[in-house]
Amino acid sequence: MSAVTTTDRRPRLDGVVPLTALGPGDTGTISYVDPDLDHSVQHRLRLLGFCEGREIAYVRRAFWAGPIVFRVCDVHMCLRAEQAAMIHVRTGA
Amino acid sequence: MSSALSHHAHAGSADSGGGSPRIALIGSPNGGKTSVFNRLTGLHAKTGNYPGVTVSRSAGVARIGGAEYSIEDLPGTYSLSPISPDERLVAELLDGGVKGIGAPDGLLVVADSTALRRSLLLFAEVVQRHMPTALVLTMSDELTRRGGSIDTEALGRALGVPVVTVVANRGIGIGELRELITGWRDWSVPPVDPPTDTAELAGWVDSVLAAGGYEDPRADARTERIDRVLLHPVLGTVIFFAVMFGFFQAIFTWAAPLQDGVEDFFGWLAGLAAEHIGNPLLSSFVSDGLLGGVGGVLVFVPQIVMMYFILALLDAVGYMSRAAFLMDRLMSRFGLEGRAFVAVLSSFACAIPGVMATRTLPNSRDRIATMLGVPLATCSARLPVYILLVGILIPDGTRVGPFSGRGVAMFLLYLLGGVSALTASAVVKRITGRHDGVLPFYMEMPPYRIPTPRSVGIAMWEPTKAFLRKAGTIILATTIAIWALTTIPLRGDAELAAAGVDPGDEVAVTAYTMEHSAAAAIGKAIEPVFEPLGFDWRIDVALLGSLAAREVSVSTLGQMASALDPEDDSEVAQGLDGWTYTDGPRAGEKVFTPATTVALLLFFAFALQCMSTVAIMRRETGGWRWPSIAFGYMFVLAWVMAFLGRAVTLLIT
Amino acid sequence: MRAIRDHLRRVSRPADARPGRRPPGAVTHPERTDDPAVLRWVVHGTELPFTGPLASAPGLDGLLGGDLEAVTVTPGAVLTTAAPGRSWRELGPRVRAALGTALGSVADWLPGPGARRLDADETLRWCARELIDGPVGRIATAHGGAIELVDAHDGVVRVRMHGACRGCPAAVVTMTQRLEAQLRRRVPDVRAVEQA
Repeated sequence: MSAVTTTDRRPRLDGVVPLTALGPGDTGTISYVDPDLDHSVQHRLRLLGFCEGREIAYVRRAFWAGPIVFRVCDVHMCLRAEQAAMIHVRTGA
Repeated sequence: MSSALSHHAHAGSADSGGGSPRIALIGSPNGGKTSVFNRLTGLHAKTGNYPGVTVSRSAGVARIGGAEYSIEDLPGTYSLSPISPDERLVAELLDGGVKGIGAPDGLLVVADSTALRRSLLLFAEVVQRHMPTALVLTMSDELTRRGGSIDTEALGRALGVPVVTVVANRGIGIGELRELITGWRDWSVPPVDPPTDTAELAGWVDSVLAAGGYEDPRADARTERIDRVLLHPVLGTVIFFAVMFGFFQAIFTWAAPLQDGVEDFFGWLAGLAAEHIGNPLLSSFVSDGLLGGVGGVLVFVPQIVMMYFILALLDAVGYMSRAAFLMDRLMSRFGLEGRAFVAVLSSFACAIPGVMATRTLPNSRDRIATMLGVPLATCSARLPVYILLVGILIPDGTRVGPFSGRGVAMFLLYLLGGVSALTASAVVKRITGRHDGVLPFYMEMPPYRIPTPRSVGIAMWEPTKAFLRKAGTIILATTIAIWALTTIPLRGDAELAAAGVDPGDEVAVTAYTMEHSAAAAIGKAIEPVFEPLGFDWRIDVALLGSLAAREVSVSTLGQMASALDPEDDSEVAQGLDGWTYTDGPRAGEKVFTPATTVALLLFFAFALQCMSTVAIMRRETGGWRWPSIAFGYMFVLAWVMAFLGRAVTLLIT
Repeated sequence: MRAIRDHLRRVSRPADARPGRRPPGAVTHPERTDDPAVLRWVVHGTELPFTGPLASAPGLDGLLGGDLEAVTVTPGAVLTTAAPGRSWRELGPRVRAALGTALGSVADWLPGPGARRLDADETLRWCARELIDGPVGRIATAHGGAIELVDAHDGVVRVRMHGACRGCPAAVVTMTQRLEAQLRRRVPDVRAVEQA
């Protein structure tokens, strides 16, 4: 029912993947934060806006495999790849 | 709205009747909290440290309706659950106070209204403490511009706490905020604690925002457009370097005329003092010690002000996080993070702002590592020394390809400074690395915002004031100390004549006085330490002088070389050229051989001579441990590098 | 008529996948009422089946008659009355959990005596009345005036101003706009608020 502007490109991924699997133009819904992570770190990531159920979009990545910028909860947050890999999202239409 | 607080969990000082009510501002960084704080406290704010930690503290007083309120601007945070020792301190403060600082009476959460869906998560944590709480929404003009909206009153009902909306940088809504603060006793918390499970909590946030008529703002189109250029892999990097280049241009080239002006002014004043003060000791004290010291501090000021202005402007606009984003990969190779680059960058002007800039780093290990590395960057105080020594080492007119030999040497010294600063930080980080809390790296990229001149002014003035206060007093004190060591006792005419010095010849008198002063005695005493490097006791006296400020060593060398004008490098160089060792195994040999010059250059490159830097380090780390370690390791490093440099030069020449 | 309503629905609820918005489920939060024993749990994302006392619902059954003296359903909110001596600070989380369960299966709710489903006009009137008796009316009183509900029919609400608000064009515009904005959050189909 949502009037999502469909891009011409089909989503390449479906299912639950780490954030690092997202590329330019991809969006997803946060599924879970790696439970093996230190609890305080998990909590912090959530309070930054990376909560289960929130929509997240890939924005850009720094040159030479640097940090990645995501848009979530109306803000742009950047994470290093190591942290981004700990957050898992559900992608696909 | 009736307060649903059944009890105040922790009675602040105001409740027990002593002192003004303490209001703490809590909110995320980039959320407009600082603007709110500035609006409430005007310029009556003090910056310092929390006891025992390197966390900076901002507190001030708001005068509203005849009463005083103590406003504490807590460090920007996304959560009250600490993941680092610094954050733990803030949590302790809220719990029941920290030694010397009482717990707050009221908590004012400052939230960016364009990021409300995220900011309410922090709000939910704050209200769990059951203290009188209220909410301030900032950036409401931006919210409207980006197609969002909020019904402040409805939100207040939904949350169960008073809510006001402000546009802090334009002063809109501040009157309401001030009124809100006077009614702090009526602040409240939601009737039921928000859920702790994050999925449920997100639901609570969504429900509250729906009831509050919140429309999420669209992504900021302007920011997107600008970022497409500024963060473009190629173009963005080019622009970054252009900005860096502009930064250096500003602080060196543009500030130079102002610096010359300051120097000329103080030179003129010193001349006046020498003319009009009869007593020779007092005259010397005023012109060389006092004015020399004050002038020595103030000559920095144009550069420091220029630097802080640019940094404040870039930060207020929002470019700093972009720069840190671009630099993070490089910085992480040295064990640091993107935000550390500001500290390294500032240190190319002066290590003191560099050390102070480490406050922005959330990880205390990063702060220590950066602090211990940045004094190695080629600061502007090293420049006069480099210029003199490079002038001695490399004859004028030498060319390396299309570039001047001296220019290449200076560039290499700058490169050396930068690389060694980063490497030292990396090493310190590795060594102190045993038990690291797994601090994740994250950074918000705020939308680009047009800053007000007032906020940039405050952001620029505060650190400049701190610099003047801290560095100023130290430099002045040490300059006077060095003056005393090199000038006292003044020699009487008879004594001078007996030693074969013409009492009327000022230059000769100065040289003689210096060579027989207390400083000279010290220089001779420490000579054995520097002997393997090829320094003679006169160079050691100059090194002693460098403890006040590095460029003092240049003037000291100049005075001992009997130069008419110690500022004229070529004249000084000529004088130094004639020096020969007065005693010891090399007696009679020339002092300033290429080997010695290289050794001296490298010694200056690596040694931490600047006492003000040591003093600032002490203040930032809260103790003498780290400054002593810094001083010690850099001394050893400088000695070793100078020795190696000398050895290598001897081999090649 | 339906076409107009559908159009209004689309206009008033911009449907886009803005990052941050989770897919609609039932979400709720509690608000204070004038009675300290009563909490108003505002519900979004699910339409409530009737208006009036609740006899039974999954999850809430464990609390009804014990910790909760009564539960009343209204358009867009559930009112819970705590039994004497209970504190909301302690009881609240349990009620939230129970309500969450209940909202998951709204079809299984059993109405109490006098409870029934309201039609569109009745819902509109109820919500308008709630706002006029509550926050919107309070603002009018604060300015020395009053607002009176005249009629609510087919998406249009008619009100009459009194006191200081009457005759002041600014007051009329502000009050009607305010009422309309707040009303639309509860009843998306509202078309206009007019002066009678």
